[in-house]
Parts: sequence; C-alpha cells; structure tokens
Amino acid sequence: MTTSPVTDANEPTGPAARTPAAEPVGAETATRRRAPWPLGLVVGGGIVAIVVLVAILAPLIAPADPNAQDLTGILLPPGPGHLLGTDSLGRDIASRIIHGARFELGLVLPPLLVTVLVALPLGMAAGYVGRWVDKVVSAISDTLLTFPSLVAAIVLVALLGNGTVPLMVTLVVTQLPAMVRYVRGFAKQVSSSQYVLAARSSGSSTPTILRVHVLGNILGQVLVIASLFASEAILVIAALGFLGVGVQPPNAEWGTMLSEGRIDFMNAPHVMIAPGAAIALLILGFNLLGDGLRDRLDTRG
Amino acid sequence: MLRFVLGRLVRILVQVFCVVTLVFLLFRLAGGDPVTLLLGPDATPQAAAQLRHEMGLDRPQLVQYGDFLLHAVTGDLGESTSYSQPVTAVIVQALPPTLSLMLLSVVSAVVVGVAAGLLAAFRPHGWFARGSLLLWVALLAVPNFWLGMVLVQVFAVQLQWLPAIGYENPASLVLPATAIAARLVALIARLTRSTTIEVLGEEFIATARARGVSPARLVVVHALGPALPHVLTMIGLQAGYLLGGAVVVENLFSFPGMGSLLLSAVSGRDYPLMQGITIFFVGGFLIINLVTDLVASRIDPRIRLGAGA
Repeated sequence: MTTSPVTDANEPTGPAARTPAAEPVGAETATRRRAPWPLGLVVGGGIVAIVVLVAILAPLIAPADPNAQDLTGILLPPGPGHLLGTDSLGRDIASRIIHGARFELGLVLPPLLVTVLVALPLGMAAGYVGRWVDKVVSAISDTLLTFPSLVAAIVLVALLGNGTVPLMVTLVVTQLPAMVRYVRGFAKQVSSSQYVLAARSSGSSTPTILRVHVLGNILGQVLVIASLFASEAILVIAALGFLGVGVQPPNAEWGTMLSEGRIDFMNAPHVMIAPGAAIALLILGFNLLGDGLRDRLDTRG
Repeated sequence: MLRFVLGRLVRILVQVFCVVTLVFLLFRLAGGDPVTLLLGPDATPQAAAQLRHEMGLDRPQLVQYGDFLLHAVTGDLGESTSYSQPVTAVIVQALPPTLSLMLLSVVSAVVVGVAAGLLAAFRPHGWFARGSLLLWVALLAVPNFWLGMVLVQVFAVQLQWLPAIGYENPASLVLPATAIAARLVALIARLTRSTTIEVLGEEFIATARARGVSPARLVVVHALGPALPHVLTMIGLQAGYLLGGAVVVENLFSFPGMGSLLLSAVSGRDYPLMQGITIFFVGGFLIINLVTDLVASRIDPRIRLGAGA
C-alpha cells in the first residue's frame, strides 16, 4: 500500500495494516492456529452469545423492574436481596445491567449491519475496479477518517439529537469510512490473485467476478473486522452515555448508568463496578471473537 | 527526504481544506438557524432580520463559504456565543492542558509499552510473558473512563496519593494520563513483543549469540531498532482514539482542556465554538500522524521510499 489510511479501529488487521508485525507470531500462536477451535474464539463467542441471550430474555431473568425506585433502600451494597446492590434511586443494579444489554446490542448491531452492507459495494468497487473509482472513494474516506471518531460522534449527536435513530446514524457515519478502507484493502488483495485472473481470462463478467470470487473470498475477513468494529461501537455508545449526550436516563444503558453513578461512586464504588465491568466484558467478547475468527480463517488460507 | 516532507505537507493542506469545507457544510445543514438560536423564538422579525444582516447570513451561501474560508486561513473562526470571545482565543486557553496530557500519555505509553514488550519477548514462555499477554487483552477491553473511575477510587479515595480532579499541580496529570495511556501501552507492548520475537529468530541473532553477546544486549540493541517504526505507526493509527480519549477522561477528571471545552460548547449549543474545536481536533490528528510518519521514515528509510514510489 502506498498511502497510509488512518484509522482508530481497534487493531490494524489484514492488508489494510501497514505493520507486518501486527500479525501474530511466535510459538503460542502457531500451536493455537493449528487447533480447530481457538480458545479465544470459544471464550469470545461464548461471552457474546451469553449477552445476546441475556438481552433477549431480559424481562424473564431480571429479578426486578429496572426502573422501579425504592427510596427507602438507596445505595445498598451487594447482598442477598440485591445481587449487585442498588443505585442512588434504590433501583436494582443487576436488573438494570440485564436490561442494559438490550441497549448495547440493539444500538450497535443494526448500524453495523448497515455499515457492512454499504461498505461492501463501495470498497469492492474501489479495490477491484481501481482507477478513478478508487481515487474518489479513497479520497472521501481518507478525509472522513481524519475526524477522531468520538469527537465526530459527540458533534453529530449534538447536531442531530440523541434519540435512537440519531445515535444509530452517528455510528454508521463514524464507522463507514474505516470499513470502506478495510473492504477496499481486502478486495484489492483478492483482485490480483490467480483465481481472479483465471476467471477474468476465461471471460467471466465483472459483476460475476465481484460476486463469486471477490465477495466470497473477503467475507471472512470482513466478519473479523465487523466483530472488532462492534466493540468499537459499544465503546462509543457507552462513552456518549457516560458524557450524558447518549442514551438518556432513566434508560439503563451501561455508560449512562456509569454517568448517573458519578456523584456517588467515591462513597459507594459498587454503583460503577458492575456497569463498567459489563462494558469491558462485552468489548472483550467481541475482541476475542474477532481475533479468534482471524486465527481460524488463517488455517484455511 | 525533502520531497517526502513536502508531499506530506501538501496532502495535509488538501485534507485540511476538505475538512474545513465539510465542517462548514455540516453545521449549515444540521446546525439550525443561528439567529433563532441566539434571539430565541420570541424575537421580532425586524430584530431577526437586523441580526441576520449583521452576521452576514443574508448573503448567498457561496459568498458566506468563501468568507468563512478566508477568515479561517487568518485564524479567525468566528465568535463564541457562550463565551462572547473569539473562538480561537477560547481554544488557545484550553490547548496547554490537553497538550501536556497528550504528551505525557504518549511518552509514558511508549516507555512502558516497549519495556513490557521487550521483557515479554525475552522469555516468551516465562510467567511474565504469559501473564502480560492476558493483561494486555484485558487492557484493550477496559473503557478509559471506567479505568479512570477505578483509578480515582484506588489512588485518590482509598490511598489518597493523587488528586482526583483539576489541573493545579503536575500530580493531577498522573491519573488521567494513565487512563488514556492504558490501551496504547497494551497495543505497543503486543507489537514490540511480536517484532522482537521475529527478529530474535533471524540468523544474525544466532551468529551474535554464538559470538557470546549477552541476551539482554541482544534484545536491546537488535530488537529495539526494528520495533520503533512500528510503534510510531501504531501511535499514528491510535491518534483518533487518543484525542477522543482526552474528551471523556478530561470530563471525568474536570480537567480544563479541549475535551471539557467541547462538551461545554455542546451543552451551551455554541455552534461556532463546536465548529472551531472540531477543526482543531482534526488538526491535532493530522499533526500526530505527520510527526509519527516523519520520525518513522527517518528511522526506517523504506517507509519514505515506499511512499515516494
């Protein structure tokens, strides 16, 4: 790659990364690569699956109403009645964490799907067709990538409002340029491969080559990146909630819970431990899932 | 080298121009009518028309855009509505705290990250290497604002070693810088470890080892060089995250920098200030990338030659 695409995605991965050493090297990874199911993939997939289940079953498994206040029992430490204690309004923190999973996944996954669906044609066109298409797409995405994503998110939310739809639009706008960059890199790599050359010389049309050979061969890598983008998006949603410009109280988004706990956390640290740990766990899950998928794809490659 | 530097500068100028244009468009399209915002909904049409004329908003959009560009070039980004001062003056006051925070975060992340990476590569199967691999994975998952809260709880509330808020003495930089640097430490350490293990597998290392060069000297002399350009590239890649981290962490620690200013502009609906801060953040991003690029190409000429081709 001659240009240096700039991104603050979690980890430089695949051909879009200009740091060859970012690829895992060393004895441990070599053995892990041979294993059919890398430990990271199992643990990461497990964490994500559990959070998805919790989000779906939230009303059934939550011990209490997440918004029910009990002003006679505020800031109670974790105990038998309230597994994770109560917050400054006497709400059950465990129930709020369980319902909060719905906000994290519900706000993050739909925009991610949109981002991937829009980035695929743009990135593939830029990477495979090249020429002026590549120039235009790359110039636009490079310019947008110079906006630090959280700063862009704060400004966009300030301009668009902080309802569900503006938050989702903000995620798409801030993540799309980097995703296009990655897809372009993958497509470019595939387009110079032997099998694409063979298909081209045997007379396959460009749409067919793009659909069958390019898309089919980059989908795995895109899945890896999408998983890492999910953890990035969760971080953005939680940070916006923490700053008070994201999901608004009394909704139990985990970052918003941290924000509400800022007054009391010095005296009652339990109000910030559970929401923060929940954010970290979900991010860890998506990170491990992405890394694990990459290791698994490497075995076939 | 000169051609490389000039090329980079030209590219940055083009990008700054695009960004300023984009910011202008964004705030015009989505920012609402500044006159209604300033006077409130009850203003008389005459007063509104008067202010509109004074602010030059009754001129064609293209003229306004040209005017905006012309002023931006001279460093005039308009008047802040909540501070009643020029935007540039407000921003300049908030720059030093953020600059010192960024500098401390990056420098300490490089020192700690490279040291940890070298140590982990030195005995790849030792307990330190195994433990630190897990620690790095954990650090990459922990949000900086939560890490900041935990640090406040431990070091300010329990141990009372360091201040939890403000910007009065150098000690107040320690906790926010740690919260911002944590993720960069993990990334740099991981990178240093993998480059070093790669280098240690080379044949010239075996030769040096046979010559009797001590393992510690081997790691420091032969592994540090190849690792540094990658570390610099990583800082450039993480520039956006660093600047975004400054916003959240400054807010948590009531730190009077650019991040706190951005949030106060948002809550005051001060669009000219938000516009100016956005441009400054992008500028910071471009400068971090330019500096890391130039230094990396100074160390490793392949970067410069590859980019020039």
